[in-house]
Amino acid sequence: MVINITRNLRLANKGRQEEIIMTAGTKKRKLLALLGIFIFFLLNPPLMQTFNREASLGGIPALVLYIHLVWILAIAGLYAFSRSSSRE
Amino acid sequence: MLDTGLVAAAAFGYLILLFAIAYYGDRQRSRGRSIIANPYIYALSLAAYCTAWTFFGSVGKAATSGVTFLTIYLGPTIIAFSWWFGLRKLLRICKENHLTTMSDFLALRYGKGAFLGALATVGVLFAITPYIGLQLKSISGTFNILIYQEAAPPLTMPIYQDTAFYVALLLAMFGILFGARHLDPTERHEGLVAVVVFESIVELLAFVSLGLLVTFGLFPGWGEIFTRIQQSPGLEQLLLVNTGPHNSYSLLLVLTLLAMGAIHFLPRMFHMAVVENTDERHILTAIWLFPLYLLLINLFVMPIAFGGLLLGLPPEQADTFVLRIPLQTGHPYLALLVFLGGLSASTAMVAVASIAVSTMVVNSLVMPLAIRLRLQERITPHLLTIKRSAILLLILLGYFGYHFLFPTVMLVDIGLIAFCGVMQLVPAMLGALYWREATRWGAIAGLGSGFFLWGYTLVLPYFVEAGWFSPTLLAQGPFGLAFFKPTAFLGLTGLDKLSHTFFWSLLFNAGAFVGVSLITTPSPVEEEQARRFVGVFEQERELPLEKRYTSFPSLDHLTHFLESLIGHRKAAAARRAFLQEVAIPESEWGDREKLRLAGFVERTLAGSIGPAAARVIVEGYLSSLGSRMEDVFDLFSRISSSLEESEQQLRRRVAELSVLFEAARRLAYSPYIPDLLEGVLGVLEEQLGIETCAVRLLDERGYLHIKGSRGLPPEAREQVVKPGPESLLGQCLSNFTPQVVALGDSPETGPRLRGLLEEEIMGSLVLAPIATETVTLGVLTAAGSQKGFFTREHVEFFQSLAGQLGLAVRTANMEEALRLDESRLEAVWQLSRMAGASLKEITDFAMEEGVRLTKSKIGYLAFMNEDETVLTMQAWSKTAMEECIVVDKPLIYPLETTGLWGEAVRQRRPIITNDYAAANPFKKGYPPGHVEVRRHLNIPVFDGDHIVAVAGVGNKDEEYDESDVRQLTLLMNAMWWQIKRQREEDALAAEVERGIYFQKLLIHTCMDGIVGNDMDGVIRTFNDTAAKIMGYEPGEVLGRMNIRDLYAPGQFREIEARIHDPFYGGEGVLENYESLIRHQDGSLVPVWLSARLLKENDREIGMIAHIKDLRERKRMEEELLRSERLAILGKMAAHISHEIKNPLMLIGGFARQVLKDFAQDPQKNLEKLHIIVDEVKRLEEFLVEVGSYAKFSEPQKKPGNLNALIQETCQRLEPSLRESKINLALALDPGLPETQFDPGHLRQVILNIAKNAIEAMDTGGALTIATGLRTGRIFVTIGDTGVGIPPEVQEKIFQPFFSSKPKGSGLGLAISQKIVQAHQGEIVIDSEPGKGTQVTIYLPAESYTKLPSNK
Repeated sequence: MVINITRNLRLANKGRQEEIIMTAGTKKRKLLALLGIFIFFLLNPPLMQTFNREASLGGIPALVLYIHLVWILAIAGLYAFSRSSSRE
Repeated sequence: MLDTGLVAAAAFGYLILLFAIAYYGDRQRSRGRSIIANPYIYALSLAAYCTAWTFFGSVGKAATSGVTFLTIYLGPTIIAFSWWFGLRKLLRICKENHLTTMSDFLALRYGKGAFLGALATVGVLFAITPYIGLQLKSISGTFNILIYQEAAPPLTMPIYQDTAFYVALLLAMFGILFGARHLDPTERHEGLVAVVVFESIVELLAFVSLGLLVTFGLFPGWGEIFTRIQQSPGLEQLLLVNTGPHNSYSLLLVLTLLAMGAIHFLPRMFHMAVVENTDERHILTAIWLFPLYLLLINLFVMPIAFGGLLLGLPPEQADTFVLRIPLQTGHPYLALLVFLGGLSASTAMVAVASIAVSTMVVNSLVMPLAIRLRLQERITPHLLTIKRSAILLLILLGYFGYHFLFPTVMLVDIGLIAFCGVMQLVPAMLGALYWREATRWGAIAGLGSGFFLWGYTLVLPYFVEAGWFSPTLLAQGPFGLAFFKPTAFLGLTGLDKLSHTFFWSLLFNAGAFVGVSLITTPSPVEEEQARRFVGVFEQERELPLEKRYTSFPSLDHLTHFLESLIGHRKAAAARRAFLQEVAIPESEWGDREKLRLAGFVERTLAGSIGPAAARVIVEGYLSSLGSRMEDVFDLFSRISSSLEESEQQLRRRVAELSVLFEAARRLAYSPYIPDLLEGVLGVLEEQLGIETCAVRLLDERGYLHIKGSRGLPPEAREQVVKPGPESLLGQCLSNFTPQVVALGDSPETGPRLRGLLEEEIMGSLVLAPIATETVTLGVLTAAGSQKGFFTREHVEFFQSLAGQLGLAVRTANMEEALRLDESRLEAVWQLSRMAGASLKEITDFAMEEGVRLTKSKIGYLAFMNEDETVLTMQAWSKTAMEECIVVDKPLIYPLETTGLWGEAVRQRRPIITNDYAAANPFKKGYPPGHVEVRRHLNIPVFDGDHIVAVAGVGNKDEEYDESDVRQLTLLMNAMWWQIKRQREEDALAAEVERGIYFQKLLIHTCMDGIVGNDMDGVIRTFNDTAAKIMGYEPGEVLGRMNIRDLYAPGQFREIEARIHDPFYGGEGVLENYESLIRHQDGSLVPVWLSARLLKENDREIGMIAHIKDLRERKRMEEELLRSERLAILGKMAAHISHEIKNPLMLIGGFARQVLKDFAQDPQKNLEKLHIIVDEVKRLEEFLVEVGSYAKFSEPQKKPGNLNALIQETCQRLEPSLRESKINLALALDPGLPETQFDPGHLRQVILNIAKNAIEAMDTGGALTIATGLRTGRIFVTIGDTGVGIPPEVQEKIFQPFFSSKPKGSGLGLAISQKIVQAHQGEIVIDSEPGKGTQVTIYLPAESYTKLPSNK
């Protein structure tokens, strides 16, 4: 029974998901990809290198801070995408 | 330091809790209330990523290399950006195909072959087994630390004392219980997931608690820790990157990449992310929640690591800082919590990994091997057991592996080795998802080389360090080949081990994968799978069916088959699912559904035994039933445009086809040519926007008429052109080829453009011939205002269009002709039925029909006279009458004064005048008020060579053509024929009437009465003479009286009888018969009649009798008879008296003499007395004769032989014959029938005649007597050669007292005749004077006497 329900759900979802993909819009996808690549870029030299120094803010080293901020940014971006996608 | 018992109890209790949770989770699932169908659960389940490695290893790595550890968690965060597309695709594919492991995935994708899956499995096995081992080690290690504050147990500890061993067993049991309770095709284990999630939370809690303790409890905060580290000598690098090979950017990159790969392709991650997923949309939550979790859990790693360092703990123990710190700082319970957290992490990893890998082993190693050894039948019932054993074995293998192989290696490193190992799957997996050309060989090459290099460059060195191989291998390379040194492969130095391995393995892997894939071609199965995998998000298109199964088993069979493999419940569920998916009842399944079912069964099985095995088993099963896959012949394979045509070309082709289709539709819509033309022109205008186009059609004389157009002025329709051979139109017609011409550049005039209108020659022009295979019908032109409007590519299209039009026009023409013929035949038939109609009706009807058939408005018909000089109007069509206001229309037209419409006669052929208004030498004008004629057709109507009429029609909307001529001619001919026939019939009827009249005249003027009656006796004919004779009026008799009543009673019966008797004139004929008829007043009238039977086809239908009134004749006859009799009597008296007188005189004389002379001479008296006596005797004889003549008595007839009689008579005659010297010749027919006669009488007759004959031959001769049968009568012929009888004597010879002889009474023949007549016979005399006489006696033959006589 569970199988059926979930399968039906899945089948139904598939349909919806097609819509989601369709309506997710190439634009959004491109934005997401762009953000991802951007994040990757952020976490590589040279940008990493700029923060790779002995500086600290409130005791926390610049690098650590930088990395974590980027991380939070990534999560935020992902969250935003997720929200807008699931809303449709 | 904690009490062992406490720790053990805590651990055990914790595990029990896990068991409980798992059990609960599974129970809920079986009840249908899944507790994990929740996006948050899914996201957190991914936290299985965080194993003991996270717990302990991260801290360790942070303490040694600082920030680099973050890469392991940043990697997943970055790759999360792709999850909605990449992971979801993976998910979709796996769900669709029931794939539960990566090896199955690869196997399915790359041709369903088992080898690849096996290769992947083996590689993964090598990668993960140590990893499992390390988890076990960490559990036991941490356990020991808690208790003893000592980490590693002595190596020599026997196994049974090693906690890790027991933990291993416990975990194996856990794995089996919650991962291998039954064979689930979907391999979903909700209990397990619940546990993982729970453990994730516990981990987080534990870590965060510890973190908080360290950061804010032991130290004043993050900042403080970091600052102090910065200030510590030798530790500040920990805060930086790229300070050495241990944290170079390249290493960071490598680590990040490894993490990005591992998050997907570690078996446990694949399982949690893909297999355990319930809903694709959960991914949306996971993409941010999971990175968030990672962030949180790593938030305190550095504080803890650095804190430990700052607290003075040695960096080598950094792995276990998380325990040591709380222990050392007096928080044992926190340490316990941490321990439990670590335990969570490890157990989760081990359980999930072991389940996942054991599934891989079963599906990709065991099953294929079993199939190869043909043991699948024996294995399948034990699959579950095998799986459980695999789980156990795997864990134990991990344990032993670690125990014996890597006791010294750091957690961290093992983890990274595993990462690098599973990384080898990335090229093949990515190719599977995104690259259609990826082939199996490519994957094998890639995987093989990747794993090999990984093993060689990363794992082998550890083996060497552990002492399994000689160190020279590392130092100098294999067999002394320094170039292939494991740690400096191909001479690459300067990289840390991990980067080095990463680089080479992935280089070779990806290189081989791509290279070999490009070289090899995918098999059809691979192609199909590639399509299905790479295009999984595309809408399911119905591809043409290329393959089908022969003798496919029924659904029940297959369900049964499934049951034997996966159990009854699951088989039934799968069956239901499939039926629901297909939604068509089995009876209506076609090849496509069967194909789907086969695939479905395969996929269902794949969930339990892997796709390679499933495929083999299903195919084996099917072929054992005789079902084979065969190609389906694609009927349209040759028609469809090849895939080489570009999209643009295809689009254009589709557009062309749709236009042609629309044109075809319109052409099929109507049978009328104007409609057809409008249809095509409409299509050109509406669909293609061509504003100037025209259709020209050829007529019989070769002229092109514009029959339809768009964008041309209306006068254009009147244009009639004969295109010359140089003109474009002409060329188009004669060459059958379409042309595209660009005009308008330099003004072209002259022959080329002849026939084309101004509007058409502005820019570019297309001319397409409207033709069928054999005949050109016209030209289709389309013009564009710009020069390059039409190009060569359009030519084909226009050709098609024109071709369609050609066909349609030809068909329309044919149909039109047929219809007209039908119409005409109908009219002709109507005419033929107008048998009784008057001439006017016929001609009027024919006229109207003629007008109708030729679609004219007016018509007329005039008859020609005999010598073809004068026309007489016979009929006008109604409209002609109405419209013409000329009063007193003349009816007679001498031919010489008639104009155009007389031409038909003069030229003796049909004349078409399509433009009456134009000048024409034959026109002679018509009177004003006459109906206006715009078009005119008239035809002569022939009868043989002779023109008998002229028919004309006029004012048709279109032009008159040969078809009209034909129809009108045929119609008029039919009409004429009808008229002629009518006339002939009338003439015939008149003749017949005359005949009848004449016949009547004959009958009634006949001097004889004519009475005819039918078989019943009813009188049908009764002429006037008969009326006069019988005294009736014809009216009284005809049809009323019966013939028997007309005759005297019984007479008719006699007549009837005799008419049938051939004797009286012949069969059916009665001649010269006397009868009596009854007069109206009752008296009987003697008549003499001849009658004849009327026959029709040998059947009697009546009788006709000619009747002569005999009354007059009878009277006359009687008179004659009386006078004759009187005469005869007189004569007789005279004769008698004479005869008597002479002898009497003699007697008297002599008597007197005697008296006188009595006494005298007695001699003389005696003489005289003798003479007297003689005379008296003579007198007596004479008187006897007279007497016998008078007393003629009836003959006494009795049967006898005539011949005998004759012979007897001849004997008597002999003396006389001798005396006269007469020869007797007898010719008596021996076959003479007996007949009835009176012998005495007949003897007398014969004697008499013979005597006469003898007397006629007084100088000798011959007497011939013959008898015989002639014409139904017996004859006796007595012939002589005597003097003969002269004709005048013959007439009277039978009269009594008539004699040619001096002697004789003259009664002989009279008596003979009387006798013969009394015998119903007759005597006939045939004589020629000088030659002889033949007397024939006819007597009736016996047959007559048979008839009943009613006398």
